[in-house]
Amino acid sequence: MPRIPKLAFLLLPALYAQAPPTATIEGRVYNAQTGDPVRKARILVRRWNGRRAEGAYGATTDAAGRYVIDGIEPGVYGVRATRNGFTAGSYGQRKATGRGMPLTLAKGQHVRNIDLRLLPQAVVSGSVLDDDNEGIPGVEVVLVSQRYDEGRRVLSATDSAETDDRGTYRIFGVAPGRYYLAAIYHGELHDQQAETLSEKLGSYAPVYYPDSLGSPAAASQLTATPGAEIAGMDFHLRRVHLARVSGRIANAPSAASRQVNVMLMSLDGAELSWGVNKQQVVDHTGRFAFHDCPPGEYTLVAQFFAGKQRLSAMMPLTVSNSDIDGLTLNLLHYPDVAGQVRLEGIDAKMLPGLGIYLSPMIQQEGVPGAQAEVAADGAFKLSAVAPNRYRLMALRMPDEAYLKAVRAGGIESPDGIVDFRKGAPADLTVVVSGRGAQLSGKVRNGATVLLAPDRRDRYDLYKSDVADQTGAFTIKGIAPGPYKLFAFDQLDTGAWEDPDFLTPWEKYAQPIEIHEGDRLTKDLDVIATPPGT
Amino acid sequence: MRALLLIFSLAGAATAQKSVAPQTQDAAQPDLKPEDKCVIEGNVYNSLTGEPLKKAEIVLSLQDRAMQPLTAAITDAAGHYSIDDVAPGRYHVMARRNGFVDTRRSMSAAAGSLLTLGKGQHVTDVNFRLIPQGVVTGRVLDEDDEPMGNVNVSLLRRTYQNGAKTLQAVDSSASDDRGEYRIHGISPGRYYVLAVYNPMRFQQEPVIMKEDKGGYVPVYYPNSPGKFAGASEITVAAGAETNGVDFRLTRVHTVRVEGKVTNLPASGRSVVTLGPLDGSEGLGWTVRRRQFADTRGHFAFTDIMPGAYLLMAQAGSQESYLAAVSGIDVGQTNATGIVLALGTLPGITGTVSTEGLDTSHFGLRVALRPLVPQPGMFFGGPAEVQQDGAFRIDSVQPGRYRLTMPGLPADWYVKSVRLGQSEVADGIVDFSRGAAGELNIVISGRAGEIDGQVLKKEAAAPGATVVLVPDQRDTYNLFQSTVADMNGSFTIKGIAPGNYKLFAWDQVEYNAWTDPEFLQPFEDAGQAVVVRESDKLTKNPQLIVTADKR
Repeated sequence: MPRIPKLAFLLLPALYAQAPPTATIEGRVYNAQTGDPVRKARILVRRWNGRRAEGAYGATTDAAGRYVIDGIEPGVYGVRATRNGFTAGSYGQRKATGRGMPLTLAKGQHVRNIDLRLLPQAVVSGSVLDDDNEGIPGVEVVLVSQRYDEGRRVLSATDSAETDDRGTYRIFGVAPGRYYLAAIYHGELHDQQAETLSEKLGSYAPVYYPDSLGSPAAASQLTATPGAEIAGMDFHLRRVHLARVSGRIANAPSAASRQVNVMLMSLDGAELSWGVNKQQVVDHTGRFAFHDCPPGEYTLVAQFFAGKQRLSAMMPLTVSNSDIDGLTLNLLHYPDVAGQVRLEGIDAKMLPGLGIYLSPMIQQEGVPGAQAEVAADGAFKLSAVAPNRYRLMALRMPDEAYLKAVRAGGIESPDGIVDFRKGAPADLTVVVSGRGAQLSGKVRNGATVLLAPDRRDRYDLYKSDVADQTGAFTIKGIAPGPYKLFAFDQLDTGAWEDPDFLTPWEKYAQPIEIHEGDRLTKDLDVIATPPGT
Repeated sequence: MRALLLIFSLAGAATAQKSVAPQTQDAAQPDLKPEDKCVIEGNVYNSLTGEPLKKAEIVLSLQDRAMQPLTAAITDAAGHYSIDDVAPGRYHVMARRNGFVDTRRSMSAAAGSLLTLGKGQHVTDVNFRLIPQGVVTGRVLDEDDEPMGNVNVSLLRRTYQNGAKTLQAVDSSASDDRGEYRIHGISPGRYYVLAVYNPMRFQQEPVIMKEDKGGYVPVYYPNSPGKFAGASEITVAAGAETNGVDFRLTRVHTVRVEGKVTNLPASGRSVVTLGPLDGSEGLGWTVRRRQFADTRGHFAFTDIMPGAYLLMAQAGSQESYLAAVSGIDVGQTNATGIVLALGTLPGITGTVSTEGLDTSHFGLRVALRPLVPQPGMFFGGPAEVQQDGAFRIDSVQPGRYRLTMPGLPADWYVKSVRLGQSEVADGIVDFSRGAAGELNIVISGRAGEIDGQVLKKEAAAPGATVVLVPDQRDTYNLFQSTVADMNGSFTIKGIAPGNYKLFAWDQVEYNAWTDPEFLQPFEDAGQAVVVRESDKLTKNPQLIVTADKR
């Protein structure tokens, strides 16, 4: 790193003084139901493309719900407001969970009427009680909503609250929508103490409201509406004995101070992964035992760290109602994987800014990814890569670039997925091209333009943009190939990862063939409003 | 985004000192003969009413391993429990129940009780009297008397650290949308209460606030914004709710702390942390602020109250970690133009040499623990000691540390520590001007040992806190404490040779003995002890009764 002379710092104030002319926005915040102004709302104006945050601006609304922010650097921004008692909302947002609309601000521009309408919050409350109708403290009650991730329906936690000594909980700030409600007992004990207790006394297994044990199969959903308090959502938990998973690490390190981490992680329940992820630290005897594991698919992972060395073992596991004992895990070395980035149509001086990331295809906490910085000559080294399938991602690519090719061990990987389960490849080549296509045009303001690849399972190729207040949109860095172009009035990010979502709209979409380096302009009509808005 | 979290996991790993925890063992004693098995039983009562308590949880663990229990039981409707198949040995037994004081949170070392079991022993009447919990509730309102949500309210208790009185948060709770909070499981006593509204705890980027309406700063109950001087204690009684501990938070004059991180790596953004320099008045992690600097390295913290802070910038990955640390005094005006130049933090190398046995059979580690708890400062190490005794601790922040050796067997002691040519007193290393020099640590297996029985007149006194106080009172490393078992028996190992006094209290706040003011009235009740290398002494101290006689 070159030393920067002290003088440079003295010059900084002068640099700030020459800052370009700035923009101003102003507006008001209203209660979406009553139309009354909302005072003391916190306004946050952030870059629309949050990937490269370059400073944000904040304000608080006055007694008339008004705010003014000046001195904003030109650029594209999103405006968001939060207030106790309300659901957070964005400028241009048309449904409770929408993204809002980008605001393009030019030099010296003064934009008025950037108004936001906040929905009064919903509240969900109740009690968690035991057999004697006594409150159970330390139960996490979680609102669970559904979304799609790469074509699979997954459940994700949106809000939660913990029960107090009376067993009561209160989840506030809830956005309107349909939710499952789950009660997950963590206890107020250290992990190891909780394990001992559950081994001897049984444990409170996770329950979906009203009484569906371990999964939402027999659960009912609740509907939260703006301003409503859904009270009396009570759970009755009973201690039950579930299956035990036990075994040993065959080659546990002998030194008593060396600890192996063993984790049992729920797979199919992305549903309840926060509830049944269990962890133990194993000593030199190598023995581990997890008690009260609800039925389901799991990955058993053991990890051992010695300085920068990492050894691990992984085993898929299906747990039913009977105990699984006598498992044996062997710790293996994670190999390092060296590779090379080749650039096409990009200045080689961009190389040191790039990063390479291996994202595990099994997205579970504890199953590590690997990340490396790219050197000036394009080389990178991913250290200690676990045997797994990964999606290879290039980080911090220029906007117009796309990941053109990935070759592992001489084999082309067309979808960027690399499989290291049978060992690390001898070489890994990543081609990043600066000749990604660009598509821009006009559509109704706030509309979402979606470019969907004909290969609908290539979730890495979907591209979208929300039109700004003038209706302008731009999509950059498009990989060549056949696509279809959709324009929706409002669309949740990732909604297209539901494989059935696009089906009813296919006939309204425009097919489009994209070639490397294309500069296309298309003006679009919003085809329809998706259901549920 | 996983990639960006790397930096945090690094800092987190450094501060989280995970206890060494061998797993729960089903077959802890596989070779146990049936006639050697012991049985423990007893009852659990409400200490105020004397009524038996059902559904109380009893947890049995090996002595000094309370976090790694061996087995557990639960009381029946008559408040009775029984644990069979226990191997002979020394155990810690603890009872807990919802609605009662959580013994893990009480500062007394005598949480639970100690049991020594001989072969085939059947012990009855291992009884517990649980203290009904105290509860503190209240509301947090703003200047317009509107409820404030997500305000962290914590109970602070006076405690001792390195001989200095300090305030430590014993429990906390966040206010809900109605501004209401409830803190439960509290032991009776006197507490300060602190409300912290910190919505900008973590920011994805610096935020420029447009109007200067002032900010909300931490408020000590009843109404002292930012200053401990105006705080007053509340009293929490057993089995009672202390209601109406309400706060009214108003905006006060605050300033902006702004500057630039320089020497940024090509790939990276920097995380900047601002935390109070002195955590002794309860201003800990809850008031810490953290943000990503923007791509040009610019950072800006708004709503900062005047005071002394530690400002730190971090960037890079585990492989190439860069940091810059600076202490700043924030006054009544904005602090701008601060420059944090990233660089590699120096590491420290050293050697461990031994007197007595060789070290290859146990895994020694060396760690540097920040002397003053400062939100934002992290531990150095722990570093593994190699076979040849060498160790290296990477990336040590400037500051003062206490050197600790996790994994040192209980009957060993640290004989001397040298940094370069100079002796390090009390294990405190001063790296205020950055880490430099070579650490030479000598450990010895020839520590002294004291065992004995605590007596009240002639009779054995169970459960006392036994404390060995060095004559060199400013050497906190040499203080040792333990709890006597049900027969009053105790053992203290790993004693460095020297002159000491031995005390045994029926009730004492943990670490209070490091406060000379506390110790002064008890000086005559201490028993002088001279410990030489490899001594095995037997001492029977007289119990000092301090408990109030309600």
